[in-house]
Amino acid sequence: MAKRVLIVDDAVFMRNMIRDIFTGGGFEVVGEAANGLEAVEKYREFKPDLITMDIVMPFKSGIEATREIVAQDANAVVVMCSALGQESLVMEAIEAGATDFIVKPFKEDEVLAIVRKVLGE
Amino acid sequence: MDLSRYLGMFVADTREHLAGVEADVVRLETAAPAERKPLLDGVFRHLHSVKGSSATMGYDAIAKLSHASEALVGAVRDAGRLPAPPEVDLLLETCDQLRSMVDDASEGRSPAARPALQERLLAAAKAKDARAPAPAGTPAAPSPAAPATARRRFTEPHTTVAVRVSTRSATPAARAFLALRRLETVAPVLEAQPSLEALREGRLPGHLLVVTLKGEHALEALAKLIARVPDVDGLEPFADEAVAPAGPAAEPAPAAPAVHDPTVKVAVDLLDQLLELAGELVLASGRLREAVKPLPAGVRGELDGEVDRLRLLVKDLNNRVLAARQTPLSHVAERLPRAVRDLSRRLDKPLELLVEGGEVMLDRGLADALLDPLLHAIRNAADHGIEQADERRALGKPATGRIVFAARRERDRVLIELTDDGRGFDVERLKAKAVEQGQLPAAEAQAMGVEQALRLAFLPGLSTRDASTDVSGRGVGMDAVLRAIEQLGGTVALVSTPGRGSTVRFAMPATISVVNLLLVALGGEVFGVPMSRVLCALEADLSARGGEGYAARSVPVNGERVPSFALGKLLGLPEHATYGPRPYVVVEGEGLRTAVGVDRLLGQEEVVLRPLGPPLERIRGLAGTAILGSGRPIFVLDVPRLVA
Repeated sequence: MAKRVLIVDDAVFMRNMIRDIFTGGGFEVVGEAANGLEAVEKYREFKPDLITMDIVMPFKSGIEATREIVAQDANAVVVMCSALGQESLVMEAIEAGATDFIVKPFKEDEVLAIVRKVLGE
Repeated sequence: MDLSRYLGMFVADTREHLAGVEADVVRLETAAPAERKPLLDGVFRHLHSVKGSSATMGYDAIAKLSHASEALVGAVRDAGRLPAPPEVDLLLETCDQLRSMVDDASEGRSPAARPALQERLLAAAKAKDARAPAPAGTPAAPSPAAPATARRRFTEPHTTVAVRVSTRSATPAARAFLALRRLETVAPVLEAQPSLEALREGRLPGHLLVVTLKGEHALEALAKLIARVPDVDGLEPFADEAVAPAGPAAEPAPAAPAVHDPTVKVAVDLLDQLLELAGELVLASGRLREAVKPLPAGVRGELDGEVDRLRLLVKDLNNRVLAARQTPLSHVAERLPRAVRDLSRRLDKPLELLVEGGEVMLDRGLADALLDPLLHAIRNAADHGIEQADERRALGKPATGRIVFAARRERDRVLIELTDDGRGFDVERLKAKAVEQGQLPAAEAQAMGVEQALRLAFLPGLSTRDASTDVSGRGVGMDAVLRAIEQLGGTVALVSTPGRGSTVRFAMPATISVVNLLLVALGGEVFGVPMSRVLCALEADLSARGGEGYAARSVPVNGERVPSFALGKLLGLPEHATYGPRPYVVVEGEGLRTAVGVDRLLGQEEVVLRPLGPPLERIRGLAGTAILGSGRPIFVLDVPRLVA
């Protein structure tokens, strides 16, 4: 059965691109969120197998959202989407409970490889 | 990966972000202390988004420039202060460059790098006073990592391993960090080298992380823990080494209060298509009513009612689609403060801008087209209208020149007034210049009233033109402004009171209908045919067939013969006998195809379709009028009705 993904990023076109990568890789995209607040809500609603989480977002950062999601569900798999040169933010996110991370600019095969590894496939 | 299909969205998104940066940066200069952090955070986020998305799209130059400006904003933010005017100048200049680079990208060109500007931004970010002492609340400075060669003996049982991170990884330190976290789940970490601080700074010398865990652990068990970490090649046993203690983690900033915005982004193209469809539906339902009229009363009865209902529904739909294209004027007005700020600095005159009626809605296309005319009017007001500060004081006016943007809705029009409290238009000078340029006989100038004289400002020779370094990057004069506004179906007028100030008054239709037309020349006239109706255009020579039989009055189109007409005859224009091939436009409507012969095909143009009022709307075959870019008014034809 296809793994279910929730995509979180404040830029529509990034969400579209990530969505295309995942549907192309055989995943099912169950929802999208544009900020940390929506991310937490939609996580509760959809309980996806995986979340891709942008870090810098309005209203609530990806790090905060990750912290809240992991507090609710210790098994949540959160993969942070970071821009190059943000290693300290990535590490902050990991300390907040993120499982792993991918770096922009995305390469389709790299993203899928990382995600599959993280999900234990 | 094919990125080209994301281009449109990337361009739209980025333009929005840049508009946000510009507006926020200008606000920052005079912001209250409480507004400072949210504004700086906002600017940072906008630039950060641009960096990320442009990198993803492969526009390295844009990403690098955004990164450099992000550094400056970050430095100002960390220093806990407002940006100084030269920093604001630099950021606004960067905004302009980024905009121009996005324009390049949207037109398929690769944006060129701006290394000099990047250098200036990075230098400004590093400048001595950029980094004022950080405010309380940030973590204490981390202790430096101990030199790698120092050794420490552990007295308790422990396991030291070296984790290898792939050299392919673009983020080796973060990967090492992940591995460290995994290992932490099984036992406390006694030491890690490089230290956590070094990892945070992105340093992982030799792509190797050496970790000492409390207790004794089997290598396979540890290897299993890090097996799922991407780009980590494995681990192996390692001799003990000393490391610096890990620093505390910084707490992220608390979130801003939530505001949910129930809107959906719709591509402007899609809205245009919807608009055209809705317009077509209105025309079609009108024709339906016409078609029903000649039916016998008994049959007509119910049909009439239903057709009327349909017409109302369609009109409602049309209105709603038009409404969907509406945007609040604040969308345009938020670009004005920056222009005023720049002018104020350049002309060394204190200026203030007041905006009223930003919530008034206007069609998005109209609003966008208003920006340049508004900027030009503002420049005129600031440059020629408003006096220098000391002159103003001598006149008893406040030293700061005031420019007011006021918008209001009046029935089916939106009125926008740009008023300054300067010296007003010099009517005599306008007249003198017009006479000098031979545009006006001296006698007429004498007799001319003030209102008429003000209209002289719209004559090409008389209008002020701006040199290249203005905000929009284009020089426009009042004549270009007039043409642009009229083409959109609006009007511009000037009002002036000597010594007190002047007003530029724009009146725009609240909604518009945009149609793509095929322009044709016929008998010295130009007509438009909606492209949505045009099947194709071809050349045919019907003159040689002696004018007899169906073949003589039809053209072959895709294997079938389509009846053809000379458009000139249909419209009652003087017809010249033509020999040889001429262009035919094949039009489709109501399931029938018709070809009309014209003198020349002139090309395509998108126009604002202006509906005809009574009694002209009764004329069969006329869909409305439009004003072309050249300023020429034309009739738009409804060909199927024309030939029916």
